[in-house]
Amino acid sequence: MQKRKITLIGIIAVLAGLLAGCTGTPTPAGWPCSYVGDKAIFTASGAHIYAVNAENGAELWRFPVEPEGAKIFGAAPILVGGQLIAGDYDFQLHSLNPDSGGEIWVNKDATGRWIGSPIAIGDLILAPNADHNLYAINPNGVVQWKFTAKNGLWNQPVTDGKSVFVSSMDKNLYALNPKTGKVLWSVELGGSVMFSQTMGDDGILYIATINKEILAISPDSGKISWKAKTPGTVWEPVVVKEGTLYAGDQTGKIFALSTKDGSKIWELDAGGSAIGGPVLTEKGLFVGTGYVNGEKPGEATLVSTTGQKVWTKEVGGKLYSRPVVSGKLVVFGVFEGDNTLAALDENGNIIWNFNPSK
Amino acid sequence: MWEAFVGFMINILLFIYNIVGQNFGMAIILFTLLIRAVTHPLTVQQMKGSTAMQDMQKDKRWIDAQAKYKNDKEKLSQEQMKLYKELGVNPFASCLPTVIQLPIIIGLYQSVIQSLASTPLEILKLTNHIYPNFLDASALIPLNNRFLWMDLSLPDLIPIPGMPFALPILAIIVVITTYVQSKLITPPPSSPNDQGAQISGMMNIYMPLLMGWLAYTLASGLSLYFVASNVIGILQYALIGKVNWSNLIPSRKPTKA
Repeated sequence: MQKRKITLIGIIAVLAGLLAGCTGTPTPAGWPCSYVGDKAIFTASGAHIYAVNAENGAELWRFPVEPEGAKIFGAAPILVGGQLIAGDYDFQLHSLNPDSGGEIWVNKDATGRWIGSPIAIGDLILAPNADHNLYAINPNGVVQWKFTAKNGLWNQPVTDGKSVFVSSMDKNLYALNPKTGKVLWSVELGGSVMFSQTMGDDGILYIATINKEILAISPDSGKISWKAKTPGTVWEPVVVKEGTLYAGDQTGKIFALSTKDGSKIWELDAGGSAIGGPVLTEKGLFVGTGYVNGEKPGEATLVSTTGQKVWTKEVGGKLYSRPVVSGKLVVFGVFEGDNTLAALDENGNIIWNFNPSK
Repeated sequence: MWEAFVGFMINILLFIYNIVGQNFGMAIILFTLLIRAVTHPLTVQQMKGSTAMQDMQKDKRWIDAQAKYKNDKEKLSQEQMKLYKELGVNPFASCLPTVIQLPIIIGLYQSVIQSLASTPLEILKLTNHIYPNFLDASALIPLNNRFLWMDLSLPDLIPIPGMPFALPILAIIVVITTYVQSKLITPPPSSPNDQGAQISGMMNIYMPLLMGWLAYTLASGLSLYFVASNVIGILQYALIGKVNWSNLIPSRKPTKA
């Protein structure tokens, strides 16, 4: 009977493992997101924030040193007055020493995941959280005020210096007084916004919604100047330069619109999903693609500002995050690939890869 | 193939979510009910097969064969097969419906998990599953994960003033309903020394604890599915007349005169 009892407990343990396995990833993961500092690239990937040498891809430090339970980093950190601010999926916002990775303070006021990156106005940190709140935090990690939306805040707020703008999964854009958090105005967008809000070089707000629309909005009044339908959902902030808006979408389309009225200038098919969107350099638009079922390796592509593919380079994995520019290199975050980062030069040569040691 | 099946289940779940006013808790309950209704004929078949097997095990010829050939497995197997044929019992009649139901139940379970998308990666996976001609993803996302006091995408833990830890209300309900369900559907033992009954007795204790632990650690949407599944399971067995209410009431041992 004792033997049967042990067998039964064994079966139940296996069953527990199977059921837990059926839940997919118990702790949700995400693709690597990076921020370019003066000396290093800071990347949020899985259980760590990595500081990577921008010249050769060598790891400088990681935080935390060992993985800690549900602590997953899904938002690119930012540098504010000598502190590196990084939020995790375990509801904690960390201030780190950017030279060593040592923790300066940790704020545990939020009750949701830190999915979007913060911004800073002066030394005030404005951090959006999935618990519906935008937290204004001083350099010592103390909350000064908070603004509550009707649903999660995933995207990095933007500012024109006078107001702070944050759009929400609740389908609204809010303009706030950065000193008090009071709402100056709000506007209904017709769809949730994940990460895609930008302040253009013309001072206009450009926001893409899940409803497959891009909206141009006045930052003074919240008045919508125009709306343009997009082929698929635009996830990341669009790029605006000198009267043209560039974006990439989930269906793999890269396109350019006129900022005057949202009319289409050109469109091309990148192949895989282009949710990371483009980054603009003097050479053109760098875009990463990923194939949802991994049927092809992710590709980095350079597209001219007139809509022609200049080159395409197979990088591997899925290039879902927005690439970042570090000097002469463009750095792509690689998800479900052999590496975490791939740095390419303007001709599509891979200069270095970063693959964290175990 | 499997992904496509889970995708199909997700679309049905989200369709229900849409028609019940974007209430994900109600959608989980109704979806579980729907799946249980669809697989009900299989459950009935499984019950019939299981009853036939139990009846056969009470047959004198079966008991005699067990005693006679207890040291000759091959001969015992031959005798059992003979008896199956004579009594018209299909030994697979009780387990085959379970095998067919299993992928459906796992698909339901996975569709609930994947629909509770609360991170960018999960949203990306979910939107790739949604049939664009059937459902409008932009109108569905973000899903309304609030149900009663719970955020269905997070484990259910209610802080109680004055208590040093949060109370996992739903996990407790999962333990209770799993225990009640397993007690109610366990058939009475054929004999006091029935080893099968002893194993069932142990399962009745360990399984609720296992389910409670899963409910404590996983998203409360899954716990809600466990509770709905248990309650619907009890009603289903009651409908077939296979609920042993006496199992819930502690029985008095007959006293010797």
